[in-house]
Amino acid sequence: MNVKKFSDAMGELDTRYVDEVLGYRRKPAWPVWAKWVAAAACFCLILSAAITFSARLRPQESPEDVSGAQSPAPEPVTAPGLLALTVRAVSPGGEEAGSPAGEEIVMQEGVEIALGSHWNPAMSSRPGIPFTLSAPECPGAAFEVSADGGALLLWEDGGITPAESPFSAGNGAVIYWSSLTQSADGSVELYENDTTYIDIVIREGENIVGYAVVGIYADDPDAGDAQAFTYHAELLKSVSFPAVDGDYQNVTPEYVSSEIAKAKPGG
Amino acid sequence: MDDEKIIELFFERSERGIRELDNKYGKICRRLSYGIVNNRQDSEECVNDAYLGAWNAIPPARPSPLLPYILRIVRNISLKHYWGGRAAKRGGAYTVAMEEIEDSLAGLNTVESEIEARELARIIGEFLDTLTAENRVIFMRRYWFADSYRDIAGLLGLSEKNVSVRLTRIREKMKQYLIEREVSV
Repeated sequence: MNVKKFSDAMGELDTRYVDEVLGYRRKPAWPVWAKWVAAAACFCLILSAAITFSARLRPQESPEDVSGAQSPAPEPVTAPGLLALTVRAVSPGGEEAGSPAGEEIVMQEGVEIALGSHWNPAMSSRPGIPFTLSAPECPGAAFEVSADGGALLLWEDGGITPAESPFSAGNGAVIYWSSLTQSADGSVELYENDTTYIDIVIREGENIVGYAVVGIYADDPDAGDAQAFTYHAELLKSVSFPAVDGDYQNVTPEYVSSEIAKAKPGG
Repeated sequence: MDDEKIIELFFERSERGIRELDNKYGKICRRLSYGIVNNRQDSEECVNDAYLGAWNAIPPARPSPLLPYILRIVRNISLKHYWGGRAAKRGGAYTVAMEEIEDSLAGLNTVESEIEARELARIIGEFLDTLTAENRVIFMRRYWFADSYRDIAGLLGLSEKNVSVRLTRIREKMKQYLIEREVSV
């Protein structure tokens, strides 16, 4: 066996095999504990249904009861999130599998997703990494979105609009996150932190009906394949506040802010 | 700096293009070269030679994407160094990878007419197309990029043992593939 000939032949391979390696992202692993997470989610669902049901059965407190010492505000009843957050992820078969831009998938809480790779702020045809926000069960929902780094953008009618943070998006809106920010004097700066959090508060009218937190993590270009501007994202938490006794719960922005902070590592 | 801008600098014959190229891709280039020549100084020379090669080729070439293009030059120059016997030590990752191939493909030289490298590349390409994307990446990582089992395992979230077992199976499969096509190397 002439290994030199094998070596030479490897050097003659079509470039697409090298491209594939450089663009390859490992599939998001389904951890062993995923089934436990699913079981826990089912348990939470049952628990929240039970709480909702018991709240309906509970006798109304008389005015005398509530006139006494003030008790602390009760924790809102929560349920699994109603947000369907869609991202363009690396396709399971890799970039070469006939889907170079990746495939649209709905993010699951606690599962990290390799985002459609090679988004490059200077060269991509897209202004950033797209996230589609929707709440199919709440057609009238609006999303208050903020990011602690980079820029949020809207791309409508062929024009790119920087979005104030926070800004309000309608059901089904697509927002773009970019690591490039433009300052007041027009200069463009690269957001160089490894982690960005996107906070999403969901409202129906004036009422808060849910929230979600997304972490975007820049891949380490030194980890082996040296692709800059590739990212992973994880839906850290997605919670809804179901109606109790047919009414919206009194969920305050302060409560949601503190819960969002807790959802972030170190929070 | 993005690739297009770097290439524009090459077209303008600005030496800053080489500095920017090195800033962006120098690390991965040196790593590839070191895996082959197994010597820091030699790998540095190979990478510099590759930059010179790119400088001479761009323009007229306008490679897109740039990284595979420059890696191919680095690999070719490093292998020239390696096979020319100038590599300081033949004990690096590439040597180990080639020993694996030699062991697994021993006995394929019984057919009279030997195949050309380009034709062999075409057949290896066809063979690679039969693999899953992940196995193809493992194979390329090992025998094109000269990555260690540990590096491959880390990149793909697999255990070293898993990488080793998969590579053994892929080599065996490739041997069968070549035998069926009466390939002699």
